[in-house]
Amino acid sequence: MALEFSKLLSRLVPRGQGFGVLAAGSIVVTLVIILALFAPYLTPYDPTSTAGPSLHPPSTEHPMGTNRLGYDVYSRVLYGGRTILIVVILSTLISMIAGIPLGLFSGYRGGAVDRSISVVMDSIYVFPGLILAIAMAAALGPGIANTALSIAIVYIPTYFKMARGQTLSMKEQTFVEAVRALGAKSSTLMFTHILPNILPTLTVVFSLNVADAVLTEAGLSFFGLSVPAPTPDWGYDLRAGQPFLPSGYWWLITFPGLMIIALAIGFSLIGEGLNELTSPWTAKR
Amino acid sequence: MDSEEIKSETILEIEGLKTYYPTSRGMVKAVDDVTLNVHRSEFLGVVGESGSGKSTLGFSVLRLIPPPGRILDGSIQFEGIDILRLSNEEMRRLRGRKFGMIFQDPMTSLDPLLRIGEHIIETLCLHSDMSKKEAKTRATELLDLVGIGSERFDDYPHQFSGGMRQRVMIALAICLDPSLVIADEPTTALDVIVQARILDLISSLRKKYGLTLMLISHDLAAVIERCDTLAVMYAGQIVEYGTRRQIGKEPLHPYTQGLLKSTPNVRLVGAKASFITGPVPDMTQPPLGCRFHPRCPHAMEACRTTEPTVRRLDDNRVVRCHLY
Repeated sequence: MALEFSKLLSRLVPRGQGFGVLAAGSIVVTLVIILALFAPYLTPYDPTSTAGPSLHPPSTEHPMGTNRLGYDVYSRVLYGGRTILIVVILSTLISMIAGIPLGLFSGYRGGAVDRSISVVMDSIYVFPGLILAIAMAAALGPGIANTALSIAIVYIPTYFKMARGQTLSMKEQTFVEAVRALGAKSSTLMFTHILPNILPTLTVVFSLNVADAVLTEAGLSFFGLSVPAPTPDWGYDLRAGQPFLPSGYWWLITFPGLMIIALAIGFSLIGEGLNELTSPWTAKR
Repeated sequence: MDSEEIKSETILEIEGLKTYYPTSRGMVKAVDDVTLNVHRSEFLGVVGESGSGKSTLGFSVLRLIPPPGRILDGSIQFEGIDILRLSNEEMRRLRGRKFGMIFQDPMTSLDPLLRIGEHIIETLCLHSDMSKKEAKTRATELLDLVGIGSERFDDYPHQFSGGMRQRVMIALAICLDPSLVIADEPTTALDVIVQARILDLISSLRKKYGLTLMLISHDLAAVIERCDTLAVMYAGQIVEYGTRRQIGKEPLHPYTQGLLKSTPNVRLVGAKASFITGPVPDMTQPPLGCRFHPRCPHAMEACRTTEPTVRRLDDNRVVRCHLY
């Protein structure tokens, strides 16, 4: 196993920058996940109660300072990571579970069924993502599940289109014809033969989408449409700290802002890295 | 050796079959009025140039014509069942269980992400209520039988050469003991030595299990050595049908004669193989009269104007030519 892994690594590294990009992204994302996961062990303060004087600049007790209510910014940043990660993971799962089987089915069936589903998906797709998410979130109300659902709706068409397109080309492969000649059911064909073969491409879409979902979640909570206050949330803290920036209280928005950027870049790097490694065209360039 | 003379029951009766593909240039008449019988345990070779409709014939029997192509007319009776009237679901149940199919290009006809053993087990379980364990035992037997060796049960297709993959395909095609195995150019993508081995494997399996086999090929020389009966196709029609002896010794149709002459013969050192001149006809507009007349050395006036009818010379000898 270890030998196979090292063989794999040696084969991947010289193929351009893909591997380095993937590694950098993974490190950033893993760090954020560790911070969020172990938040209670990494900070002595409760993120939703007064821990010190109001608007105290970064110090040894409060490495990222405190906010207007005297909450510890560092604790809020760590716990806020939990909120955004849960929402992003949940929404991505929802859009994959809805989008991929639908695309698979639509592409496999073809004809009028395919055309009708595609029209519906396209009409969702043409909406600007954030606007659609805001509209959905405003309609559904605050809360983790509702936010996840609002974001999920935005990305269902992306998975759908990708799964459908890949299925269309996979359907023409000889092996699919051969499996059909052996009398396989449509469901067997779709889920045990086509799906595993299109999964690598979908993985790339997945990691690029997650980066996008991070920004959408931050956007939603910036507008106060995500989880209700005082739950720690990066986008919300950004918004709450913004009026204090002209007065010189820079630490209120700098740290949550940097975290949003770091997480989004981390996921993007993973996506780009995977993309370069899995597609020979970009790897050779 | 002489199974040629013994005729058993007919298991496949194709009558007046027409399979057309609509294209932007018009209808491609890939199979146009084909009548053909296959008997149990018979080894039938179907030969012809590329585009003669021989593969379409094979796919028509399995009802796997890619749309918009479709079967317009004719009937296909298989073991007394009218195949063209079955529902899609009924047809699916027959595939794999009653029909086995071996494809042309073994490099692309296996799912790259499925271990070969799993693939056989999946097929077995699909059509029978075999338990996973029984299926596994059967799958290992099959792998030994086709000369792969059961120790390679857990290998992926990319770990095999073309010839070995074709052996996997054969194992898949025969795993449920089908009544009819259709092999569509099973050796075209392989090199000559592997070709002979695969054909030998198919022949030996046929003898061992009494398989009924329809071997589609453009290589007359390779087929004529092994089959019992031979159907020669040209431009969507069967132009000659007979036992391999009749056709090998005394080909009637000028096209069959041309095919035989264009086969290189190792015994005649220095002799040049001849060839059939002219291109394969455009199947949206096949030539009027006899479809072979523009390339035929014996073309007469009648060949240009009237289409020859099927002449049945005796029970298993058919020719479609004005000369007879």
